[in-house]
Amino acid sequence: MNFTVEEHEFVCLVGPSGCGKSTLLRIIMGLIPPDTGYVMYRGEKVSGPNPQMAMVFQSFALFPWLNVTQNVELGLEALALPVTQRREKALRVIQEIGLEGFEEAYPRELSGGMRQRVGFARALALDPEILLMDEPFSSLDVLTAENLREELLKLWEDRSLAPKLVVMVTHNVEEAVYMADRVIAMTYRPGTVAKDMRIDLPRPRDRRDQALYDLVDNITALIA
Amino acid sequence: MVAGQGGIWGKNGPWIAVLPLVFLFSLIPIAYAQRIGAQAPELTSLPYFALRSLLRMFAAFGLSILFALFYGIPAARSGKAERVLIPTLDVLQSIPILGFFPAAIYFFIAISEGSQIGVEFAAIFLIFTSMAWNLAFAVYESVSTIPADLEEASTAFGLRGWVLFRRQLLPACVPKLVYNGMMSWAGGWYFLVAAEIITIGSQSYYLPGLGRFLAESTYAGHFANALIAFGVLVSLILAVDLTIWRPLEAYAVRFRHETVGGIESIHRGRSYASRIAGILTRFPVPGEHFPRVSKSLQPMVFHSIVTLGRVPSRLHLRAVLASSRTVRIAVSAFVISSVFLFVYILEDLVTTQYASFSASVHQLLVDPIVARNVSLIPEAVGLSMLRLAIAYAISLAWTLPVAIKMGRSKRAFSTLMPIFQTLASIPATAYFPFLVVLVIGLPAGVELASILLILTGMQWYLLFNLVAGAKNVPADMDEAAKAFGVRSRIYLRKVMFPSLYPSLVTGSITGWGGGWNALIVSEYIVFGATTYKVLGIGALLDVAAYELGSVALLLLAVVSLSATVIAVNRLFWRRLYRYVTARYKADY
Repeated sequence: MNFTVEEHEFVCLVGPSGCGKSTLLRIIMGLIPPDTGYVMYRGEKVSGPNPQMAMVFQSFALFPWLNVTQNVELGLEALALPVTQRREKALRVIQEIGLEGFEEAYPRELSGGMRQRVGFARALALDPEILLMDEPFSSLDVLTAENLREELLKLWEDRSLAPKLVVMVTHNVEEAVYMADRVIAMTYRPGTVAKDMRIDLPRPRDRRDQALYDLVDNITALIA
Repeated sequence: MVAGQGGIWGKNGPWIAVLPLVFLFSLIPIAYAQRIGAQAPELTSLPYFALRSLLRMFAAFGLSILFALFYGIPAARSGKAERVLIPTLDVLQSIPILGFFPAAIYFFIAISEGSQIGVEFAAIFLIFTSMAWNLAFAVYESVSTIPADLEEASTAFGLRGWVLFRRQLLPACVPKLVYNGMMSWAGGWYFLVAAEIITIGSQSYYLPGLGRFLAESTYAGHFANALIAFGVLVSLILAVDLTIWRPLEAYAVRFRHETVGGIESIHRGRSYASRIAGILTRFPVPGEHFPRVSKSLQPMVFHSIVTLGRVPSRLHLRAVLASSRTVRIAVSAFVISSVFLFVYILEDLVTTQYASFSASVHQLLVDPIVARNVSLIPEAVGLSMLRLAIAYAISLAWTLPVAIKMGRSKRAFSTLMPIFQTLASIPATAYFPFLVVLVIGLPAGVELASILLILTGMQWYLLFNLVAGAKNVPADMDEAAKAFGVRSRIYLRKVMFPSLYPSLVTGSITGWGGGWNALIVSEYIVFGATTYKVLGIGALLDVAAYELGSVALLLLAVVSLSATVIAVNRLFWRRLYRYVTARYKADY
């Protein structure tokens, strides 16, 4: 498979379960080395994780023994930033993500939606250029997921999010079409790109739009 | 107790903590007013002795934790390291404390030329050997079962070195370190006597300590003193338990992984600590978050109930299961031959010891007494196993009905459990003398005494595992049985027993482990001027160490014992474990 992504794109990788989209995301991130081929980031091969790429996990992946602030500043701590600096940055992101008041709370005290917000905050605290998301909304209930999607989109459209590129993996085609500028549809066995298409619908998008549904049907037919 | 409710000490905590702390700290000024007694221990030297023992325990424990971290973390994170380190650990765990005497003596005492510091280090080392392996396994398990998504997050956010250790690895180890730490701590007390009186043949080294005080008082017939010392021991155990272990247990709650979103992390929350002595559990895990652990392990949901103190077991089934046979044989051979080599080389350096070692090897071949003992080894092993089997049968006979009763009746459980927990936390070696007095006069008294003593090392494992199994009859099976009007005896056969089989097997495995451990102190009893012994491998070890002073015989006996333990594990217990968990595992 072979594709390039440009700046200021919201890209979605869709495909059926097991087609390798999560694996692909991890290869892009540098967590897993590819068997063949390579990933280029700004002209250099990706050989391992770097602070310009941050990930949001499906299962939130929060550390149960750290409170919200400590979880959020984890990446900054790994960069050996001094305490005052990283604390300040973390608190700011926590505020932006809507978790004000919960700085001292522990993950077990939070709801699913709040936990994922912490996941977002942790990723965004690094001011990464690329935000990678592995099915970030599938562990949430429908209403919470809706809310978070809207907030994420608002931040994205607002250009106030640091990332210039978002790559999101999902199996939910409707979600992909609703959120992305570009959808890369993958097939199962072999895992290849079935279609790489732009979504030119104007934002904010209407879920009930017939054009949107046509696209959803189109893509679903390709990958099913 | 939940962390956060009234802080780490619980609601009435401060008051409960004050009393034992006052007691503990009052020992210090009293201790400074004392000197170490000359030969027979005076009662006035008891506080100082108690303090020294406590410090010794803390030192050994601290060293064990350090060792566990440095050993277990690399073993868990590197496949190559794992293949060498874990089998080695398994072999080390099967060596009884007496097996480390030669090492202790030559490394610490000989080099420091018999100074008090050297002996102290030797004792700390010996206690360390009864604590460290268990903790190393705990660390290894903890780090191996870190949920995959947390590991990914760590890598993704670039966690490395100290930050990785502090934020990811160490916290992950806390629950198991606390629970296994409690066990190791209790194990340390168990062997205190052995560690404070280090003897090889005619050389004896004594240290100021509670264990020695107990032993010497009993040998000298000062029963009042012995009883008081015993009381001090029990108070110390309870004090440490209240002020350190209980709060730590509550604190450890926050380090458990728990259900996150719809996808479960590896450790289910357990309200009251985990397994007993060395048997590891694994939890069924949804495919996506499969931990990086050896594939040959059997998953089994296993809710055990914590005991506050127990005899360390030398059986480590998981390690046995996880390694390949060739590696194990190779590693065992390597370890054993290095032990011999080490001792031999060191002997070479210390000229005064050289003569005695070569003499002891010479003795092996020439001295009739020693040679005869060598030839007795196989018979000794057989007889010890027979004793273990009898003790096992007796344990089973009383623990099974009691456990079933406790499993089915809440009242029975809440009344009996605290009693059993307290009894189990008192090291049996402390009340041996009293048991012996009662029994030794009866016909076949010595055999009976040794079986009883083995019993004390076995039964708690069996009991607590069985209770756990009995309590965990799956609720729906229970309801179905009631709904269909299944009556008592059939209920027992069809519902209760099958649920019990896995617990029975793990309880038996750990029980036998405790039994092997107890052989050294059960088959060779010194009382007053008389030494009572039966023919058994434990007694042989003691004879080699205390009577003949033959290092070579000691090592031979150690090797035979370890080999037997490992053989029984692999050929019998491992197979039974596999069979039972495959057939009777309840998929919770």
